[in-house]
Order: sequence, then C-alpha cells, then structure tokens
Amino acid sequence: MERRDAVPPEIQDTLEKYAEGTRLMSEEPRAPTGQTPKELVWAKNKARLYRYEPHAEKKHPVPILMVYALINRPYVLDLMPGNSLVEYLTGQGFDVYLLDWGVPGDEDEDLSFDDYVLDYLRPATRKVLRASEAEGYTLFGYCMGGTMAAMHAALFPGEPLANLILLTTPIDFAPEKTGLLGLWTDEKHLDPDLLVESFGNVPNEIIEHSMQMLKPVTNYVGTYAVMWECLLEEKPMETWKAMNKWISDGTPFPGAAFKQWIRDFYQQNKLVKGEIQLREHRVDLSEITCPLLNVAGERDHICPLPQAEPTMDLVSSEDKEFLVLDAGHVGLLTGRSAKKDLWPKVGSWLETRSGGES
Amino acid sequence: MTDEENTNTVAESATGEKRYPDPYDLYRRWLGASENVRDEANEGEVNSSELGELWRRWFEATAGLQSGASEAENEFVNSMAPLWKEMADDISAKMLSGESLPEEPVRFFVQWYNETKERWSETADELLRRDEVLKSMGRFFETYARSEAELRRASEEGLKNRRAPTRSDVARVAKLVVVVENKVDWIEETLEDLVQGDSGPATAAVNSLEERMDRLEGKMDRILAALEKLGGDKDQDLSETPQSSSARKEDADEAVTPLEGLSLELIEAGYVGAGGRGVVEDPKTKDED
Repeated sequence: MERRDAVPPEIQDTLEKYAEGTRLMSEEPRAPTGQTPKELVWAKNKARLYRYEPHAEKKHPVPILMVYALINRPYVLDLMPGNSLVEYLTGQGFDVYLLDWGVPGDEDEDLSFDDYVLDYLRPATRKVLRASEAEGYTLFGYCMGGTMAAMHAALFPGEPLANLILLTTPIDFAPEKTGLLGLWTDEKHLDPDLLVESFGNVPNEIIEHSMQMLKPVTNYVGTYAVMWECLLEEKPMETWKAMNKWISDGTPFPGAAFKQWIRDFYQQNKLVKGEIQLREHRVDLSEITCPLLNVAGERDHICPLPQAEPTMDLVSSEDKEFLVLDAGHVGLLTGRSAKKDLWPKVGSWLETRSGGES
Repeated sequence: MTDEENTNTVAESATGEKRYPDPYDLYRRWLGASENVRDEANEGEVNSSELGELWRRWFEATAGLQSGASEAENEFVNSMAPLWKEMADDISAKMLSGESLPEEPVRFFVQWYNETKERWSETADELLRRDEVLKSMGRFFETYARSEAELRRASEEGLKNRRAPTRSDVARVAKLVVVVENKVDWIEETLEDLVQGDSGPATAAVNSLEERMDRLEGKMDRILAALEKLGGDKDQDLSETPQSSSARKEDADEAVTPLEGLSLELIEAGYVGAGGRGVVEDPKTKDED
C-alpha cells in the first residue's frame, strides 16, 4: 500500500473535532456531577437524605433542607464543582441537606403526594433537626419540589419551619397560566388514568420528551449547535456535558403521584382553591406564615411567571419577597447569571434569617 | 481492487501469497471512500469567490426543493415553505454580502442555527398549539398506552403460563419488603423519640406510670406505719397488769381489735374497702384521674 501524504494539520484538527462531536452525539453523556462531599443521614425506601460537608464549620444554626421534583435527579442543585448552589451555600457556612427521592420501582406506583409529603418529607425534616441539633429549618423547594414544600409548609406551619424558599415553583395551574404544558395536559387530550394503567410508573422517556417538546428547536437542534460551537471554538465543554447528562437522566413518575399531578393540579387546579387533600389534611396555603422567598424565571417555559407569582397572595407571611430573574427554568439555577444573581441573593436572604454569623 | 480481481485472487496471488475472499467488502469500500475524501480535502481547495458561488447554488437548490415540495400539496411543508424561503433569502444575503463565510458544513450549520433559531422556535411553538396537533398528540399517547398495555398483558400471561416470575410478582414481593421497611422505620423513629425524650405518647405513658408508682409507694408507707403501730400496741398490752377475765372480755369487746385497727388504717390508706375487701383500682379510672 502506498504511503499517504499527511493531512494538513488544520484539516486533521477539524476532523478530530468532527469525530469528537459525533461521539458526543451518539454516546450517553458522561460527566462528574454531584461532587460536593456528603453523607447519608437517613434512608426510606428509595429516598435518601444527605447532609453536605457535615464536618465543615457551620456559621448558621438553621439548616436548609432542599427538595426537588420527582421526575429529575436532584444533582442539578450540585451540578459540578464551580457550578453548584449546594457548594456555594455550604461554602457560605450553611448546613445543607438534600432529600433525594430516588428512582421508583414498579412497587412504588401507588406512591402519591400524600405519601411523599407526609411519610417522606415530614420525617426528613425531623431528621434534619435532630442531626443538626437545630430548633428550626429552612425548606427549599425547586419546581415540583417547591409545590411539595409549599404543601408541607401549609400543613405544618409555625415552628420549627423557619423559612421557605420556592424556586420556579408552580402553584397556580389555571389553563391561561400554564403555557403549552397546560394545553397538552388538558382532559380533552390526556387521560392520566390510561397512562398509569398501561405503564404503572410513567416512563422517564415520556416525561423527558414531553419536556423537550416544549422547546423542540432549542432542545433537539440548539443543544447540538451549542456543542459544535464549543468544539470548533475550543470552549470548555464540561458544563454542556454535565447538563446533557442531567437532562437525559430522568426518573419514572410514580403512577399515583402522576395521576394527582395531572388531574388535581393541572386539570382541576385544586391547590389554589384549597381543595388538595393529603389524607385527612386539607392544604390551605394561607396557613403559611414563615418568611418566604419566591423566585421565578422570566423566560421559564416550564413554570411561567403567572404560575409562580400567585403564591404571594395566597400565603399569610408578612416577610415575603418575589424575585424575578431574567433566566429560564434551569438556567436560573446553573447558568452564568445564577452565580451573580440567584446564589448571592439566596445566600444574603438566608443569612439574616438563619441566625449565627452574618 | 475490483471485484473481478478480488474473485480472481481468491486462492493465490501471482507472487504465491495466499489471499482470501474479503468478507468485509462494504467496510473496505467505506474505508476507501474515506481515504478519497481525505485526498480530495487536500486537492479540493477553492478560493473565497468560488466558495461563495457554491453556497449560492446550495441556497438556490434548497429553495427549489421547498417549492417542489409545496407543489405536492403537503400542508405542513406548505406552511413551512414561506418561512424557509424567507430565512434562506435572509441568511444567503448576509452570508454572501462580504462577511465571513463558513469554511465547513458544521460551522455553516451553527451560523445558520444562530441566525434562524428565533423564527424556528416561534413557528414550532405556534404549530404545537394548533388543535390538530394537540388532537394528534392525544391520539398518539392513547394508542401508545393501549399498545403498551396489551404488550404487558401478553408478556405477563406468557410468563405465567411458563410458571416464570412476572414483573408484577416481583413488584408484589418488593411491596412487602417496603411495608416491612416502613414498620422498622416506625420502630426506629419511636425509639429515637424515646431516647431523645420528646415523644408525647411515650412520655405521657411514662409519667402516668410514675404517678401510680408514687401513689402505691404512699400506700405502702401507710401500711408499714400501721403495721409498726400494731406491733407497738401489742408490746404495750403485754406490759400492763393482768385483769380479770370478765374485765378482759369487756375490754376486748369494746376495744378495736388490732386487726380491725389495721383494717381501719388500710381503709384510710384506700387499700381496702369498708367491708374489708381489697380495692382493685381500675387502671382506666386512674388514667382518667
């Protein structure tokens, strides 16, 4: 075989980038995520309660318990070193806990919000207080986790709940406020009972693609345009890889909880009407009296502003603030602007309400 | 190497070297094509004006494809065609106007996306809100769910017929494990509460027990005091001068016997009732007290 002449370096470089991009597109994204040291405090079924940096100095006696949605992995709150709200808050001396719901199995298809709020979140708050030897705690809910946090705060107001932070939390599910998700989940087009009868737990692929279809151009095309741009211009790829890993790392939606979410929340908007019943408890958001920080993203298409804002009129808290940031649903938490907007704001808001050093 | 040469050289080449049929012909052709691309990359250089001409022809061809598709009366393509043409015209004008031209397809794709993403996103959003799209999505989900349900039912029945564990069997067992785990969890929490001393029901029960023990202790003390007194009276009787038997009988008739005296003490202590019968306190009543 004749020896081929060497390919010019610039073309070789381009071909290598093409190869790398093709590999990234065809393989499952891999990236180190959730790297802040943590220890397991409590476990129940698939749920895990973690405490971050347990041996680090805690300047504020009021611990923070973070709660995320059922359908995504919560390590988005601790995405990667240098891009982690958890890392930031622990660095500021806060005692941070995270309740990871885990990945439900077929045996969990009967788990509803009643179970998650009363049998998982409630005991988790007690574990946090016990582990930190604290008298009060801050409940931090993100997205559907915020909805659960709000329900918990309404059912168990007063001490020891010290503060409530809601991040892009849907509360009002009136059709005119929910955007595309509201249209798709309308009872004319979606029967949640049929899905649950067929699948048990609704598969994460259905949830993932439904979320992606809210912005199909951005999610299916733009993601890779950004990837190619970073590759060709030799920009760092770590954040892109970590985000793509998280986006494709969803969890199934437990059947009973899915039925509640679609029927009681999206289709019948029971929460704002005070009609949500968790076992014998009726959820009345006006029972919330603790300090509240409610954060929403102006470009959030999953929880549009009109879904998050009504919380301010429903609660009875005197100390409450509605913060709107120019960001999307996830960009608000992990984007470039998060480091200069959301994180310092959350930190300073909590500093004056968590005791200890300022 | 051509197919004919390949066939002719199955057994042995002219030099005596053993050769074998190439089982990966397609693979070999792909590798060959890749090598050709590499060679052409060295040779197929164009200057900037030629590059501009190539892109112009590409845009024209693309716009032609769209207009051809729209002639096929495809509703979706028809709705997209004007948008595509508008974007193609805009971007071609910008890209061919003297600004930097993309040197390769991927850069062109990135540039094209950045220029057009807003319009594509708006169009997609508008499309996804249309009634016909919503209805078809609903029908898709319904069909998908029903077919999935049928598949699951068939696989469960098949496995049952083979006496093999099904997914629902495994889930059933797992549920039992979860129930046991919940019970263990409840016991652990109750024990923790007891250790920490902040369990309401457990504390109340302990307090109630403590009170009953205090009352019992008081009664025991009174009983002991009565017994001691009884013992003292007995000693005193022995030290007194003997009396006539009749006098002694009269005294005996009139005096409270030591046993009766003890009974009185016990009655006062609440240990026995008036008829000398023991009193069994009703625990329920006690708790209510």
